[in-house]
Amino acid sequence: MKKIFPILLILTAACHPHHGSNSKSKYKELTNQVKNKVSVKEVFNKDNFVEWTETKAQPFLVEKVWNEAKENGCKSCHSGFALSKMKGKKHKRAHWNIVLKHADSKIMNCTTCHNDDEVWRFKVGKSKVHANKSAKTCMQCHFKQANDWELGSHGKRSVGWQTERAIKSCTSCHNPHRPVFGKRVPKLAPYRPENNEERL
Amino acid sequence: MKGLRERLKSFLGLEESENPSKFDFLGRKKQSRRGFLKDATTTAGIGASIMGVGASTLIGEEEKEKLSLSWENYFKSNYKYMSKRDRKKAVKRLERLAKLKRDENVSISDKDAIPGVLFGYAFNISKCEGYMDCIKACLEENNLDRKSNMQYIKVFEVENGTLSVENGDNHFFHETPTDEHFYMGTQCMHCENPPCVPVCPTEATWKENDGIVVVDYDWCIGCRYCEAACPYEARRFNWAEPEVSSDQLTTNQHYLGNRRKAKGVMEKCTFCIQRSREGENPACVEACPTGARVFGNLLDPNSEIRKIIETKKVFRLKEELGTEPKFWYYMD
Repeated sequence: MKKIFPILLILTAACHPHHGSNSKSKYKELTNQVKNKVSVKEVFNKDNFVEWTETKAQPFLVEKVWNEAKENGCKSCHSGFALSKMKGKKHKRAHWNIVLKHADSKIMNCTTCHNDDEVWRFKVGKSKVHANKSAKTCMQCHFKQANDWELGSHGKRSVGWQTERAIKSCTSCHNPHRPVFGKRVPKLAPYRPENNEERL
Repeated sequence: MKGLRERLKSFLGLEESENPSKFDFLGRKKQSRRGFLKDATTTAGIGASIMGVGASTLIGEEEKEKLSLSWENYFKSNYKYMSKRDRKKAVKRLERLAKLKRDENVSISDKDAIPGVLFGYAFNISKCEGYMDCIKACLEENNLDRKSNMQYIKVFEVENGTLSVENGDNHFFHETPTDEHFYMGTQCMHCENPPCVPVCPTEATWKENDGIVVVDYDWCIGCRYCEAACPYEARRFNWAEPEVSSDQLTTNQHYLGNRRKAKGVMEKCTFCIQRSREGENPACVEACPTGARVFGNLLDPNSEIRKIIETKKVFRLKEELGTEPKFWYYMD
């Protein structure tokens, strides 16, 4: 028995990650979904959301807008020198497609929101915040919209009405460099039932 | 004396018993008028149709199945009064018919209202920009007639300073948004007290337990009384056979929702019953690029729609009529 015991211990330890409490809770979650008849087709995956607890309203989930590939893209050029030094003609060919139409050009520039050394992080006062929580940067000025967004009258749901509240982030809908929705032609011609030839 | 009366009552079948017998007082199997008609005509009908198609020996098995299914489909009851078993049967029949007639693999749901749910809708008039993405999504989701470009949703361009749809224009087609205007969408308001329901002579339209006003397309006779009764002009009539090509068809359907409709039948917005009863948002809500449309459960105090009604200035269209629409307009 004394010889077997350590082997058993090792075996249980090895099995743990597969049959541990984690997979059990996941199974429970799935069965609960079936019981509650939640059948949102796009399976509600919490990994795609960040929890938003810093609110007066009920805590909710916010869609992630950032991933590592994007961050690596930034890092490939922006590591090593500050963003404020990039002004001027020499670097103007970078990001040629970005037109900043956000408030007055005298007020807003790259470094109003982007951090000087780590451009993929955003400024909230003097501190930095992760891109998935970049809504906090927006909230500094747009406090009225932020209030509505937290309560539910501004913004949009990411998944259906039945799951817990999971909503889109500011930059899921608005282009931060050009936040106003522009003018465009409607998607469809208006309905005219008189166009129908067979009408009596 | 008493005993004789009771005996007479039971003989005439007037007695009220707890378990109504399946046989009448002559011992024959009880049958409804509809059921009798169906049984009597099924065989005759199939025979006649076969004669019409050609020599009875040349007819294929599929053709026979199609004919008998269509015949049974013709004699089904009102969905409102169908038992669960009959609903399942009717759905199976329609699915099979879609496969046989047009080679379409559709799945038709007969899902009931979710208990504890009352659907409500909110529309932000300061956010809508008149892009009409909602109308396009609705047309595609609900398999609406592509020929007449049928639309459940109307978006009105209203001048700033007024707040009435009467002065608005819903036939605009130019770049939006324009200056000095705001946009206001209307569709079926799913009234708590719907004026379109009591006027229907065949009970083909009713309000479901989750507040959705639906139409049984196979029970509608196309009299258009409901269209006249609706103060929001939310109902649409199929003047011709609706045209939707098989590759554009939304195959995820509901019996009371987006399945194929026939000529001469009313139809209307159902809050995308095939989506909303599965926990999804209606197609218009999902398509809206500005987030002007909010959908949710009015009985859930934490839902967005409840928060909007509690915290925002809201109004409803033609409130003075007492129809209690479950469609609120609000502004920032």
